[in-house]
Amino acid sequence: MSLYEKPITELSSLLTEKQITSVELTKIFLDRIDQTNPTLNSFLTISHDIALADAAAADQKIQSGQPTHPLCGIPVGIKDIICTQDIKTTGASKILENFVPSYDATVIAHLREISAVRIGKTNCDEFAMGSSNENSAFANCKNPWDLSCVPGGSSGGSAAAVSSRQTPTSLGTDTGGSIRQPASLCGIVGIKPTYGRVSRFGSMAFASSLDQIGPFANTIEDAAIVLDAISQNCTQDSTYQGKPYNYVPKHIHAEIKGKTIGVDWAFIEAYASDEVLANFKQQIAFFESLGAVSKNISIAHQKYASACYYIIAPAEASSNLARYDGIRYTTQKGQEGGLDQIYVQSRSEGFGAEVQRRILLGTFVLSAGYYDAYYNKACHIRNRIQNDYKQALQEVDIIATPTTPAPAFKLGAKTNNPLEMYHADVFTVAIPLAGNPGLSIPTGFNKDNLPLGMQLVGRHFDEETLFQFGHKIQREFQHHTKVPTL
Amino acid sequence: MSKWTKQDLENIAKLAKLRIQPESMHDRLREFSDILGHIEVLEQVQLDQSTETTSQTLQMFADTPQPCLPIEDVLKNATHADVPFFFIPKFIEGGKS
Repeated sequence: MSLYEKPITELSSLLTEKQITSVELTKIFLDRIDQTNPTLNSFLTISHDIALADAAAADQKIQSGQPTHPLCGIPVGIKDIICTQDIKTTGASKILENFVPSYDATVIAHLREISAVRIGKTNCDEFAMGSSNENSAFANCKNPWDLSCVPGGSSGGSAAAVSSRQTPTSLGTDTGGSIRQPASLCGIVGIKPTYGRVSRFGSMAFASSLDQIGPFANTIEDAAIVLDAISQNCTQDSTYQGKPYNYVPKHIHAEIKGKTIGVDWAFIEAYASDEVLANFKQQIAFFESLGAVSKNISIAHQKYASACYYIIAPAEASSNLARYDGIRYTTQKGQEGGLDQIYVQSRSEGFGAEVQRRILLGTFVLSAGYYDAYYNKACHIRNRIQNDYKQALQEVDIIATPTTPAPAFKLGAKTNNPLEMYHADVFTVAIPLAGNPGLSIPTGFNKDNLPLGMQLVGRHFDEETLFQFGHKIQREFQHHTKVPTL
Repeated sequence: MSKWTKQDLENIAKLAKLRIQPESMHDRLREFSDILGHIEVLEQVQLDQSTETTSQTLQMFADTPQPCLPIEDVLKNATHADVPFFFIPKFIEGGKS
């Protein structure tokens, strides 16, 4: 097995036992990226010099003998929507194509404190709006398992980079499924933490009441290690709840006998394809074979989640993206006209079609005469969705669904039909509305060798139980040992 | 409102400081009508708005000054700047520059 195929848990041991240095390890991953990125387009910026400087600092810390975090010296890919001081951060948008932040997001500051290695910025849908990564202004990212398919989105580059072993882990953001859906389509682990678990300071705001930063990794333990690192203290995001996740391996490895799984079978059967449904049933049967108990439940307002999401998220986006006006830090167009022309031309030429579509939709649902009928009503129904999940999770320990209704689809297959693209998130959009944590775990492959995944949803701040269930599938089926051929 | 007109879309675009190209107007109208049809499923839900509220708990921080970013660094990303200012075209309210 090549070093780049090993999980963080093993690489960290090699580093602390001084069998390899972080500089050597980082060079291996940089070579891997340089070889495969022209095919995958998973990275928008490869930060060779900064990565090697970070690695040298990590080696110094390890050599000094001081205690280190398991991520010390480990390369991390960073979604290009998370601000990194002195590393270009574009949001995959033309309007920010030359933007270099003068500060780090809190999660990046935490990574630097523990001497993780910033290996580069990963591709994504523009401002995290999309489900296929095809809304990136710069390049279409490809799915490592089938280069004619999408990797999912919006954090498609982060998922493809981990799946293809360009980096052992990466950060993404999830607003309606943007970590869980690409994790599933690329056959890796991805978790959207509880709203308030991880600081969003320095993450470009899309929909502030929904956005969360979370990790991608090849194993459950690796995802837990990264969540431990990024969920530490923040004093600049008022939604941060001051509840860091602490990685303790024996907690993750605890058995699930006697635990209960809620399954809304009617909802799942209405949307999942035959192959996804069959695979999902196998996972539930496996959990039951370990002594867990499944219960049929009904999340009454779940069927309204997608409509609520496509009102609330665009509404918040239309407000958040008003800051991109061509004046202070964005690419400016229309200088020959007045101020209004700068605004209109910079935004019309700088934003892509999907971002403009959502800004227009958000502006509409917030406009006089329509605010109560759309935005206000969606907020109230969102409250009911939150209550539905709260009540359901008083009766069961976790709720399970397939992560996506179907495996990865072909590039271009849905680009002309936005509504069809929105349906790719049917199982994931309700979870950010409710604020609960959601984990996607690989559950095998279909007949075309495309990955399938399962979503596990837990109580607020109970990511641990999700990791426990995910770990059982990982331990039994070892899907994480399969690597796509590039 | 299940169908958007060209005028509706142009009015919203003006509010959003965006310009819709004439050649893409037909597609945009079709897309928005589709999306509006999708979200109008919420009409099925009857609400008692006097008793249903949304809530969110935010953490309060001490209101103490923190070090600022160096102004030179912040203005590096502006198209036209002369520390400590960035430039905008001269304009008069309601008129042109």
